[in-house]
Amino acid sequence: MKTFKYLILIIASVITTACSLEETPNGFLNEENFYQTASDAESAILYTYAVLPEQGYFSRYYYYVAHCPTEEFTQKSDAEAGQHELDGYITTNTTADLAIVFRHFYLSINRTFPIIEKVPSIAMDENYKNHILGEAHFLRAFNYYNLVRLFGEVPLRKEVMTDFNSAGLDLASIQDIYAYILEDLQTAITLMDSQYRYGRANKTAAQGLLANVHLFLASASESGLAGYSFTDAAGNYNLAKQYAGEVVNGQSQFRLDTDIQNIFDPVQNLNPAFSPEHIFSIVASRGVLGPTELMSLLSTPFVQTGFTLTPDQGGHTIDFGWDHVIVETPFYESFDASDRRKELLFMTEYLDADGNLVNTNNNRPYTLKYLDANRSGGEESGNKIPIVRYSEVLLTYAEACGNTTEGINALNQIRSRANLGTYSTSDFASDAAFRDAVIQERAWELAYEFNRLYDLRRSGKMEQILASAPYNKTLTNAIYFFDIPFEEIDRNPNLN
Amino acid sequence: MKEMKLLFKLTLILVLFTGFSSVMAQSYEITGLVKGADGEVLPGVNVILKGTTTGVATDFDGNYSINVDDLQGTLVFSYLGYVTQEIEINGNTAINVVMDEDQQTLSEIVVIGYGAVKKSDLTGSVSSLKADRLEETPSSSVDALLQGKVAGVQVTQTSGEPGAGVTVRIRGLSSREGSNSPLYVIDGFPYGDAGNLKQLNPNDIVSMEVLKDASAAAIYGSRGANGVIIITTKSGKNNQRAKFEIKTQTGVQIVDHGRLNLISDPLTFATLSNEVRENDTRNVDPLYVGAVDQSTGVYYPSLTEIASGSWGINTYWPDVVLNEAITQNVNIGITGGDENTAYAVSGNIFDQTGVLIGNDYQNFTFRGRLDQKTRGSFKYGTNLALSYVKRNKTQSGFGIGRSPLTPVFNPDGTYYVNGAGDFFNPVMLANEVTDISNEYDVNAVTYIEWEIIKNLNLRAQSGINLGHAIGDYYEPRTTSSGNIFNGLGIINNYTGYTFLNEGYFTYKNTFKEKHDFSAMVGYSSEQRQVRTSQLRGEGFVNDVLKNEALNSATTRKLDNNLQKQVLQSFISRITYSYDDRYLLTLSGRYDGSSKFGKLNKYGFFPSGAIAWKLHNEKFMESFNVLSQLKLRTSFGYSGNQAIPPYGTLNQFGARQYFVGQVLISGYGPYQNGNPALQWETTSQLDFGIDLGFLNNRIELSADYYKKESTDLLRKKRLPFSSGFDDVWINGGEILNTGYEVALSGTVINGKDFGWDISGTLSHNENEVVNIGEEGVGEGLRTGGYIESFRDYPTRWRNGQPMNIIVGYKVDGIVQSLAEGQEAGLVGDEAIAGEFKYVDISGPDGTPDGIINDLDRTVIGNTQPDFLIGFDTQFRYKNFDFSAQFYGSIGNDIVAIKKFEGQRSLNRWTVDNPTNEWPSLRGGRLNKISDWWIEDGSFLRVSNVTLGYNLPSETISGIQSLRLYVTGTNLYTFTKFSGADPEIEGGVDYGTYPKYRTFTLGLNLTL
Repeated sequence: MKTFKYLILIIASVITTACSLEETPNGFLNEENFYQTASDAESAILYTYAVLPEQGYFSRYYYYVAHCPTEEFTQKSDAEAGQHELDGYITTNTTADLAIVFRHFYLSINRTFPIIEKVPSIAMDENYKNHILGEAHFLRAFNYYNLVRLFGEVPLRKEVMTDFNSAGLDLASIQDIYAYILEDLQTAITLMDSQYRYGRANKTAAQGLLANVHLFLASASESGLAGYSFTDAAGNYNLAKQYAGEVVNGQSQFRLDTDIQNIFDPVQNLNPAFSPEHIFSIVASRGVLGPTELMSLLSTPFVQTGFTLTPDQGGHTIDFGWDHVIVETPFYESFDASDRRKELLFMTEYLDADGNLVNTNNNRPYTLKYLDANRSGGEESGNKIPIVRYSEVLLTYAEACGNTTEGINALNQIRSRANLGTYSTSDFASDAAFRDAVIQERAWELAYEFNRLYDLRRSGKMEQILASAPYNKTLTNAIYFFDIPFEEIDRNPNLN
Repeated sequence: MKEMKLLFKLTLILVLFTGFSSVMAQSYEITGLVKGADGEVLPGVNVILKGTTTGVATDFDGNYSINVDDLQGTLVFSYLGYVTQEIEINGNTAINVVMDEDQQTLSEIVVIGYGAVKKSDLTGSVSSLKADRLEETPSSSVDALLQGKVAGVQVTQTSGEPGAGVTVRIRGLSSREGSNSPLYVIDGFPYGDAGNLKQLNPNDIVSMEVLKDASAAAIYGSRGANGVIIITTKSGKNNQRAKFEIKTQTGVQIVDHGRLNLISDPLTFATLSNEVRENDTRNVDPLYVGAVDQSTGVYYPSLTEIASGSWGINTYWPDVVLNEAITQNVNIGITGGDENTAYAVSGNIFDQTGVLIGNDYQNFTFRGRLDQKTRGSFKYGTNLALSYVKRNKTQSGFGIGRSPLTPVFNPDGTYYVNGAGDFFNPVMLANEVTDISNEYDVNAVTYIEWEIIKNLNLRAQSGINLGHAIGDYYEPRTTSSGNIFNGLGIINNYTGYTFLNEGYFTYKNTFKEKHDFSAMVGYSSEQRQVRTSQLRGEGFVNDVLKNEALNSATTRKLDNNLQKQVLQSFISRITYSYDDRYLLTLSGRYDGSSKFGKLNKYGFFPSGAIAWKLHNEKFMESFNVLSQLKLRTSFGYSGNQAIPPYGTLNQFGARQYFVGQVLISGYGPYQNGNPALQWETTSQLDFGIDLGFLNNRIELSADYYKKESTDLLRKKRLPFSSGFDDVWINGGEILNTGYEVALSGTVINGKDFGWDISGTLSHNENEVVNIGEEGVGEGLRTGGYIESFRDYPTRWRNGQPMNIIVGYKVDGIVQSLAEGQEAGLVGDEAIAGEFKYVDISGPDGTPDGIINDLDRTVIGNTQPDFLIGFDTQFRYKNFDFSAQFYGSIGNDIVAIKKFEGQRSLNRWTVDNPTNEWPSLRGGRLNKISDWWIEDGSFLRVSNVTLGYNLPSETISGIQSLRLYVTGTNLYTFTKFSGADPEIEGGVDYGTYPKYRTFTLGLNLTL
């Protein structure tokens, strides 16, 4: 009996420690415990925005992808292979940079699905709720717009993946992708308000982006870009004019900034309200734990501590950079000598640590659009990266209007601010000639703002501009559409 | 002690009394002292007059006294574990005896997990390593000491940094993204992955058992796939008076400067530096031209200035960076026990200075063990181990290749730096950077053992393993990060614990003399929790307080994490042997893990083994020379669950976004969970043979195995368009086949002279049978990203061994631009002095005149064909000498340091149009090619020891005294050009310098 008692005692002490094998989340959230409050809704939309300033997107690889295959940037010789391939127009489906951005577009898209599905049932201020939903539609459209412009036909995911065994999707036609983009942007315009929230989009941004989409469709159709025969030029120019017009004439919150330097002020990068031109700019901020956002380093010269801009250019500190992407000198020289954008937004000299005026490294010009003079925390830089800028919408409006008084006026606003001569309708023989001039103006005005590659592609001018003097580039592969990355084909059972 | 002694004397009196009763009037008293071969006195040895019942036992001091009728006859001395001796009295009244330990190793007990068996009864592949003199090789942890000792076990020590871990692999690699390290079990407590067992002092080890095949390892179920290493620590002996053991070691580490491969001549250094920059196609100017360099503001002397000697600075950096490194190791142990209590207590201090300045390591371990028998049939005890490790790390090694033309200090005593961007003055790094970790570990286990009825035993044990570590880090303004942040301070906290609770019944019996049967059944549960946190401050007023006032930083950052996991298991084993000829073992473990999906929480891991002791068969009786011939075979399953928890759940990601004044955390979909996730399973088939000759004076053991790992735990890469990156799944297959041989023998066993040898040989072939659906052509990239190649060095490809090297084949050096372009090269890669590559293939499978990715092929295998270990020991009277060798044969190394230092002098130049070496060109983006691959085979004289044992009678009170000198890592035979061929993963990134160690040791037993 005693034996039995001991036995029970020992066995009980061993067994009672048995505990559940059920795994419960610790220190992380998932759909079980989220999307319940207004803060959750806001957090969910900010997570969607948060992809944009990542290195895999705007603050590094998309910067390469959008600018190396144009006349704007080349890169240092020991840059990664991907940048050489982009710059040399020899990209393939294994070009790493393209895979990186491709992935980030979908990361952002994927974060919109649960918002659109779950936020409507959250009890919160209806106006703000609708705005958040509008932002989700806006961001989804924005990412698909980047995808379709870079790659053409891509998988069109419309809902969150629930079973990884059926993760494969077919390529959707360009037409279907645009239908989805246009629907999203129209929904966004209906849902969003016009309040300016720093680093976030509002109704004006959606109108500006929608105008840009219609402009792309119009000129792609006009130039006969492959896959764009489903749409027409005139209708889209009209719609572009309509939506751009709402930004240009229909509101007063955003306008041209008379001071060009102010738009890209290297110390005001993180100031919420400093230039009326930023309709929607994404924000790469300093001081985030995790992946660093290093936009400012890429096009900043490698100099030692103590070097500064000249007083004319603001006199700010130039923290050492990487000299990674390099302004192509012929492009710098294509600016008119009196162009203030050349004078103020490029650097060819600086002051060394002893205050002597010296030429920049190897006498190269450097763009000042993304210099962060207050960069702290090493590689983390704070930058405002314009997605929808007032001058861009104004130029879209001009191009959509064609060679008309409205169009000329819009273009002239930009030119006068840059200290350049103005045009009249008689200067252009046709709408086409006028539009060519606007596209050239966009190259100067919107340089390094993720614009030029798309302008050249939609207007069918890649070879005409880049393969001729003074650029004389050899265009080999993937000129109007990049290849779908190998990783996608390899992992997507519907594509391999 | 007093009571014990009293008790003992009473017994003695009783024995004597019974002795007296049979004594006639005239009797003689024979007295003497009994000792072991090592000089230690042996209490409790039975001394019996042969053929009678007259007998006594030796007392605590090994003395005995026996009364006999006459001085004829024979005395029989017997003691467990020692060879019984018969000594004729021959008229002597004083007979001292030295007992030899039983060399019949087959009677050794081998621990196999939840039990122990006689070595001769093993059915699985288990290698047993006794700790004799293991500790004489100075080492902070026991892992490294396994190297070369056990067939089939690969131990790689990649870094010479004090306290650095090693990698341990048993029978090849078998997991893709899970762990490949065997499980350590210390005194029944699963410690986790092998590699850095800092908590255990090698002096405390009695034996290590390496469970290699499935039959042996399956008892550890879901953690057995990579093999299991069971460590048994010292315990006290009953009826033994306190034995004090003092062991000290003092070692010195010496770096071979020849292996550092530096250019220390200033003129050569400057000439090469200029050449690199002159050849740079990016228009960079040479530095050593007697002018101030614009980008750094530093004056560089011209070559003439250097040649004439007027520059005057010539720093030999190894003398600055390398230390006279000393290791001190002091160990004190006490063991003993009375009739019912046995105890073992030990303490160890290990203090090693790194060979690099600013680097040292201290390890304090304490261990106490108490075993108590009680009335009735209970036995209980406790085992407590404490350890404290302090590491002082450094980055000063980076400074070893600095320019000899720069000084250490400025004339004013401040650190010299090469312009504002130079943060790498090694003396500054060593003195100014704080990088210290303090690690505290406690392992406490209590057990109770109870013989419920005869032959039926229950053992229950509970224990906790608690580890706590704090990392202190500070970079002042003089360093790279410190400069950026105006001081960077970090405190890292880690607390992990494992709570173990288990119990098992063991039944053992022999039926009808010929049927030996045993059964074990039990339950085990284990909970593990790891909590980490980081406090980080950036920007301090000055560097005075270092990381002690993080709250005063301008930017403060926090990070924390918690992980929990639970393992719940049912275990059982049955053994049966018939007539000591046929043996059978069946075992199974039913394991449940929290890491796996709802449907697959539990996995069953069965195994079976049979063995046939041919030498016990009648028909073998005539083969006298063969003392053992055992054939064994086993098959079974074991698992791997070594992945991070929460793979079954959807996990949201977090990232902050700046909305004006503040950053707000965003949350959303990030990681997709797989509710069907389950174990990785390894099935293993093993055939083995154990041979013993001449009464097992020579033993040979050989095994062939085939190990197939399926359902590999891996991250399935999802299409980008899914919006997710990957998900943990089971898929893929890896095959390891191989054989291993262990041989040991006593060549000479004379009274004064003896010679023993032993050796191991293993061969493993590894094949990635199927690695999943993606990366089929390109292969899965592995190894660390190499910046100078902008590539990953190794790949996994189906049908190839893991971590093969894929790259181009070099076809000489380009001698002219035309030749380069002809060879399909473009841009900078076509100019003279560049590599020329073989045009292997094009898009349509034939050479296309263009050198691109399609021209890459398999160019090397990072896994060795053979691993060998060899050990030889001589003794002559009181001297002994031993030497150990270790080697790896047939593995390739990506020598990314091949074109550095002295070797860069071979460079291509216009005057030296070699076809073997490229030019020195700054800005070259290297391609991985066979040019960078070297044969990594080596044979190392890993240890040589000369010892002297003082004869035991020499000094009274001292049972034994041993003095020895040991040289470790004395010489390496290799063709590899890098610093050291012992490299993990096949890529020589250039590690912490390796060194020779010379150690003087003293072992004293009181």
